[in-house]
Amino acid sequence: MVRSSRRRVAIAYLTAAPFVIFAVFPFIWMLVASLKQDVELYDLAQNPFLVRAGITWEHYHFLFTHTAFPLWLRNSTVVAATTTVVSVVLAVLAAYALARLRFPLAEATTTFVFIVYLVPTTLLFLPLARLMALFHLSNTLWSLIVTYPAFMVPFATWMLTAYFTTIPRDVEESALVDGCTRAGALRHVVLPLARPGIITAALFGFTLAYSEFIYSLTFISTTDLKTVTTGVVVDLIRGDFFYWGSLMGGALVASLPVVVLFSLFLDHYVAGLTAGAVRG
Amino acid sequence: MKITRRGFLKAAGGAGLAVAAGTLRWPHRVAAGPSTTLRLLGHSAFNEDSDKAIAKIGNDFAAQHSAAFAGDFIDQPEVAAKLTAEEQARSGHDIIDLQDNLPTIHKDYLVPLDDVVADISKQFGNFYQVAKDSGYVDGHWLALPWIGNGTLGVYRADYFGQVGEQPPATWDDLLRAAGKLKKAGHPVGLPISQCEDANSILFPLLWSFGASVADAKAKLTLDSPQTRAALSYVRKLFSQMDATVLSWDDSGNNKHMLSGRGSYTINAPSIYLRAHREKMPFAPSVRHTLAPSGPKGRFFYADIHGWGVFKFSPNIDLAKQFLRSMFTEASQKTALTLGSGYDMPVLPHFDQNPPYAPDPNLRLLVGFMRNAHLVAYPAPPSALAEKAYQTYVIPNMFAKAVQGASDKDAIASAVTALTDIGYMK
Repeated sequence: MVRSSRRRVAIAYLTAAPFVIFAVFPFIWMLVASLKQDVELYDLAQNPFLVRAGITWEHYHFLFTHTAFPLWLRNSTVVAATTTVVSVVLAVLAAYALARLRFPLAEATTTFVFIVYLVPTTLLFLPLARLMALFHLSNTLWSLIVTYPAFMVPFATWMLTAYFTTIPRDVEESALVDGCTRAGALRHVVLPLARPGIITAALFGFTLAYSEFIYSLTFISTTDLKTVTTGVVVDLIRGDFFYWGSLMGGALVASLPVVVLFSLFLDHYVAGLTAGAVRG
Repeated sequence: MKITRRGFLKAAGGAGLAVAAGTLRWPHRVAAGPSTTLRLLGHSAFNEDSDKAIAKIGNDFAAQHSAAFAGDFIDQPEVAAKLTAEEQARSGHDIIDLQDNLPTIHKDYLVPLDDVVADISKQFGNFYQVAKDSGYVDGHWLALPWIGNGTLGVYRADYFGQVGEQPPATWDDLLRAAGKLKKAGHPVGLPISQCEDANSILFPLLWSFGASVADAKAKLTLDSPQTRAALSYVRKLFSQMDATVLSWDDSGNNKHMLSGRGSYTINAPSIYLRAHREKMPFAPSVRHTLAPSGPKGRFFYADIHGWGVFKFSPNIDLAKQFLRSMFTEASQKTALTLGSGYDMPVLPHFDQNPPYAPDPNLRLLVGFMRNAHLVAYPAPPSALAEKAYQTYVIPNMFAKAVQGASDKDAIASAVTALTDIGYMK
């Protein structure tokens, strides 16, 4: 029994190992590169996975003292968090309506919402730039907070619509029979059951907003207002010289908020994904 | 103390709200400050001090005109998206950085600067022809040329000495040395990939063999015996280089040399300057020489950066005054001193004895612009030439050739790409 159990565990680890290595590889690469001295970074004869000439913190020191990296990190987090809250609230209402309420063209609307998500940002940024100028929001974080929901809401709505349909109608109808209003049933019955789906949508939404590039590049000009995705690239690549150590360090540190969020809600996230996966 | 998820979220949420409240000020508060702000969009140069020079000139000018100056510097490849967005929005920066052929592409949005150029030329003489090629469009100056970036042969004197070779004066010299240097473990390296450096090396190589993309009337001339000769040469040179040159980005040849392994490349002075600034052990052996000449002579490519003023700018007159202030003896001295030879003057007047001239490795750049060309050469600058440049048609042609394509196929694919862009056969 014990040997059988150990073998199962060993097989499980061996099966998971390639995926873990694949997932962790970029982070290891970023960490190692960010701790190497420039001389070693440029030396093609060195093992790229080892720090042989001694660890240096100079790339992180440069990042935090010679660039506006802390501000970029703050801006990204604030924008992503704000737009995630706004988008998820809107998406919950839209998805509930699409999943539960019977009205003409409901299915067509669901499809349309998904199609809207497929419109590439490289097309949308031009008319949106005009809008931001009209509203005097150019070069402010508000320009991102206003525009990010344009791609986040359709995505979250599409995701949540699928999730809501996995929740049995009976539970909700019981609440309605017992005198609950539609809004009350949504608030007290559907939302608690849909928590894994909402958290999953929020995590994906946060990641989308946090990693967005083209709107941030085109709407924001001032260095202190840049988000981390544009700040790191635009300020740490100068002509034909790349600040490799700081670029890798910046990418690594910038990924931490997303890692923390996913770690905090991993159980909900898995539940949210699997619930959607087995929808009948 | 155990930290629960709920506790963490409460603490993080509270802190987040506090930070957000401080960060998300309303736009009118963000915009508060001097009544007039002159906003400039520039490319972030390799040489950080180049940006500082512009900021200093801008701040000095603003202080004298009761205005504020805001200089935003972004990576060159991102400039195009930024300009397009601002043109669609009819809002954004007052003064913009226009490289090479960009004035022709953005001409509908630019204020003619004929009066500014006339004033500057009256005082300091005419601009170099290559600068005029960039800024003068359809009978008007739409961009005021500011600086040029040139390329030189960058070599390791110690490695060349070890194999008994002098710095190469011709492409044949380079090929001969390349074989020896590869055997010595220090290969030469020229990018044959989709990057600006590849364009800046391969266009002059084409010209030096007597080939060109188009003639003076912009008619395609690429399919020629001269192009075949250039392809044949690059095939031979490629066999003496690392195959990785096919995947290099603009930092590729910098890494090649700064790793201490590479013996030769062609680049702006960034490698030389970096090696010295970082006090790399081999820095004294990093030297400059002119790029090699071919059967038809030696040709130089230059990046010209000029300033345009958007028609929708609310500060057109102030912007023009600022541009005039960039061409005083003091402003040019600031720009060329901090530019460290990476930035070169576009007016012969300031190219007599620039601040970097005492350095023998940078003195080669004095007068560089006199014989330099934009990629359209010998055709006039055009949007087509810019598209060919941006889509790396020429590097792609060479990359195909060195990977086994015949001359006919490599040239045919390039001609197809060029006609797709709009070139006429």
